Amino acid sequence: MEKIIEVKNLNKEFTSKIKLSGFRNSLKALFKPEYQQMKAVDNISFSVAKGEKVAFIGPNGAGKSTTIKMLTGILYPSSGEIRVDNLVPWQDRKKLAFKIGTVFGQKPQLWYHLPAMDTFYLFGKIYELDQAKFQKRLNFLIDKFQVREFVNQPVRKLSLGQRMRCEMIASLIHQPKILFLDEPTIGLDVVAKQQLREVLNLMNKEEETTIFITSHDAGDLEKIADRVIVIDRGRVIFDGTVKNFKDKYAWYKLIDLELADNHASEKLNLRGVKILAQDKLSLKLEVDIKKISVKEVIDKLLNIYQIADITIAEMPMEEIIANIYEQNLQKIK
Amino acid sequence: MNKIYRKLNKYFSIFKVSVMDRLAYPLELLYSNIFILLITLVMSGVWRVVYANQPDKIISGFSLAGMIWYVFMTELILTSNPSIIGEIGEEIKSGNVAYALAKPYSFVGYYFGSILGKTFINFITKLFVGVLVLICFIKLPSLNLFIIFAVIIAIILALVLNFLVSATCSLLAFWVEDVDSMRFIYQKILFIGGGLLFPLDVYPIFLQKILHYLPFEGILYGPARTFVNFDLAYWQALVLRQTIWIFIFIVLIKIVYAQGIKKVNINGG
Repeated sequence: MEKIIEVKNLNKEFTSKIKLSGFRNSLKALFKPEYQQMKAVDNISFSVAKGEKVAFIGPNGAGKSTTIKMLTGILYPSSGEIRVDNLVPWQDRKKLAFKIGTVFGQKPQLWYHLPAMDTFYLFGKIYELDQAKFQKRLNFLIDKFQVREFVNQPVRKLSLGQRMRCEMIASLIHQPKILFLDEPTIGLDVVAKQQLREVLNLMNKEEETTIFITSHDAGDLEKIADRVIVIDRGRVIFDGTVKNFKDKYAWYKLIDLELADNHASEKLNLRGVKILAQDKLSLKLEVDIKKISVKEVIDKLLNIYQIADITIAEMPMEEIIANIYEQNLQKIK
Repeated sequence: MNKIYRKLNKYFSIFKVSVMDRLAYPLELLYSNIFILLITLVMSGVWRVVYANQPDKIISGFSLAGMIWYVFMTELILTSNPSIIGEIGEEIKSGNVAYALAKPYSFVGYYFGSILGKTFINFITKLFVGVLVLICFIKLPSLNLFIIFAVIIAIILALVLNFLVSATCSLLAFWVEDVDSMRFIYQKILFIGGGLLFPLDVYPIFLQKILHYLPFEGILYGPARTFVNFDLAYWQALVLRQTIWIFIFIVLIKIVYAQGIKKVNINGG
């Protein structure tokens, strides 16, 4: 498969001024400033194939944003190589700008007091698009994103979900090969998130747009990405499919039992199994799959109880992510 | 040729969108621009007192009516420009400048279009309100089509020059972060060296000579004097000086920006 992003041994170090608190230290810093080297990205390598949908996740301060900025040509790396569609981002910034689209959740690009349509026309000029092609593309996107009814209203009057859909159109107007999204679903309600994810998947399917997304939202991972890269303190600690990701980091499964008889008096005592809820005719268990297999637990349950129904659920993605972040925090402490 | 047209057209489109944006609240536009009448009224009061003691009713070649129009014109140019230094400086300080790098336009070029769009619409509103009120009380300077054309050229160049000088000051935010003091200093220099409160003709000759060789004369005094006391030779020299300064500041901005943006690369992230 054709590689569209290639990153080899990428490093980024920042020099920041340090100053201890207090008046004396303020004076000292004035005459003899001290600096600290910080490694934001530590020797990472990965590649992304054309048309892939990659979620780039990690706790705050892990280096996600720095990496995205280097991929889009905003920052120089300290060392290492990057090629995005065969261009070196920080050397060919303007050329690259025509090939990529960016959506930064916290940096809107629409003109707030004007209808989104005005920004779209402006972007048509900024990306130097041919008028006829631009009009065709705009109509296509307006229909796909279902924004026709509010595209002529001032942006300030739109809901956050409507606004985000318009932001996406502004980023896709020049038909970029790669779309970089930094927290695009932040603050959106369930329906708006769902619509946005559907449209992203559609663009990926119809136009083979490569999607590179950072997000803290587990739903984005499950509903958009087919691959996950986890970055922790500047290093890639996982790179694989969403399924492999779950297999590696999910440490428990949930078992819901509906019982045929009243077994309230029966005591279940298994290593690695925690009872989350219990009443006369139901039981909810958390099984630590590193200590005991689900099969073993079910065998034991069948011996003890008369079971009417059984449901096995995986550990929710949100908890998996939270778990990785907590581990990261503990390591730091 | 087509490529150059597309490049210029993108900044002109930013200018147009900025004009539309400023027109989104027409009443607010009118209120915020009516203030010029107050300043002109106060200054004309001051000049009336000064002129009352002048036997020939002329100061440095300006009649009282001419002086009031002069003050109106300089205020018009100065106050039509929103706070350029603050606006660009804030974008640099907040790191938003970095996002412009991922778009196919120049950061300063984008603000050139967007700020001049706002400036243009403020200028037109103030001019309309001001002239409408002032001509009820004082006589317009003698104008013809050529003088109007000459004044328009001088004003356009003045607004562009003011943008470029301000943008150069604001780019210092790459190093000093907060450019508020820079804005304060530039404004005061413009007040005195640009001839905001009184024409440069009232200064001693040696000072006038020095000021003629600085860019500030081309921002306020030059266009205002062309409007009030048109003189072809002066206008030609003015336009030449304005053009040279515009060229110098474009080069300066390119150098300062190229150095400054490296700073973002070091501190960003």
